[in-house]
Amino acid sequence: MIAWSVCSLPLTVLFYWLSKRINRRRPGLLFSPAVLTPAAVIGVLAVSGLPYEVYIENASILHEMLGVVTVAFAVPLYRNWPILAANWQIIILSLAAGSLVSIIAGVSTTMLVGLGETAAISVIPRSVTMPIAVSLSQAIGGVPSLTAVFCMLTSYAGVFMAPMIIKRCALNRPESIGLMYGMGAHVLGMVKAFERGDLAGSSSTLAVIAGALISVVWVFLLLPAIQMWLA
Amino acid sequence: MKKWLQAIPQMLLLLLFSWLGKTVAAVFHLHVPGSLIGMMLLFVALQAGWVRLTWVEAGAALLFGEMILFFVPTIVGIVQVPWLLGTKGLLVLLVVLSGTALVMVSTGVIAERLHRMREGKRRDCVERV
Repeated sequence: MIAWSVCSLPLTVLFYWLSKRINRRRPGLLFSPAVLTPAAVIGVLAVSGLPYEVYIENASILHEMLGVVTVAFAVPLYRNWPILAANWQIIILSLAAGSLVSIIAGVSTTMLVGLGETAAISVIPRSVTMPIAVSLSQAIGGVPSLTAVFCMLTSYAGVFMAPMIIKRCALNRPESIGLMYGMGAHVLGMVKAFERGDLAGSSSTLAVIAGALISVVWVFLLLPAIQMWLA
Repeated sequence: MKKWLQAIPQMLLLLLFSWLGKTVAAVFHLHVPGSLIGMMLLFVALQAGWVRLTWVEAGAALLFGEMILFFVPTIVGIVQVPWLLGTKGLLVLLVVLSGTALVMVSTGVIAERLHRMREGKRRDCVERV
């Protein structure tokens, strides 16, 4: 038992390194390190009988690093600041609308299909980039792991649906396509937006960061009302 | 190897800001995650010129490149939510797909309309001149 818990961190890093190598050879959704690594760790937990609480305690440094990643978002924000300063009304208005829709649609559909309150709270930060979403989920009393799964699914769903939405809604401007990708599909969307040029890419980067900040504002404004409604 | 030698001290600087943000959040009893405050502090420091972009750039790039590693413990936490694998999991998919579509349509359409409106206004000004 003791031996397994000591191995938590090195094993996680090893699995991550291996799944990155596998992914390089076999690109695709199912072979992404975001799927393979946790699957391998879950496998080890199941075989060794190591409880999740012990694992997370020993691998907590990785979790702590999420905070450092969040801080690092200041770098792309600083780099793209001129674009934000020049178009701030458009960017803030469209992101404010998007994040508000995300919160309301998330909470109401979760309750509608009967997934329960905890899921409804955990779904709130879904359209925010994962490192920020996880700490936001913690702050509002959600289940961070559930939020992480919601975030991952959102990212994939967004990238999957984006081409259809661009066509149906006749989005032509790289700025609006970028904002849509960043708000809807965060980091994966950013990658796709950069494939459409630098302006779309920068807009999506801003959408990820500014969208996260705006969502935080919405969450704290709306949380009392949501809690009242759920209770 | 050189990439790491350059990135590690930079990551320590980022770590310092993350710690600063957490301290600020704790001292002022803020409910906002401390890491977000750390991000705003670093952004202000960059804008003010107290921290140069070259001091943090490589560290940030390395962190973003290996971001998935840091999510692993959180994602492994789904073992605590076993219902996700049952029929309820399909409902989650429904929630995510419908919500994401709504978010993307509203963001994209509003941004597109506002851009068009601004360009229209600009044209008006030119015509008036």
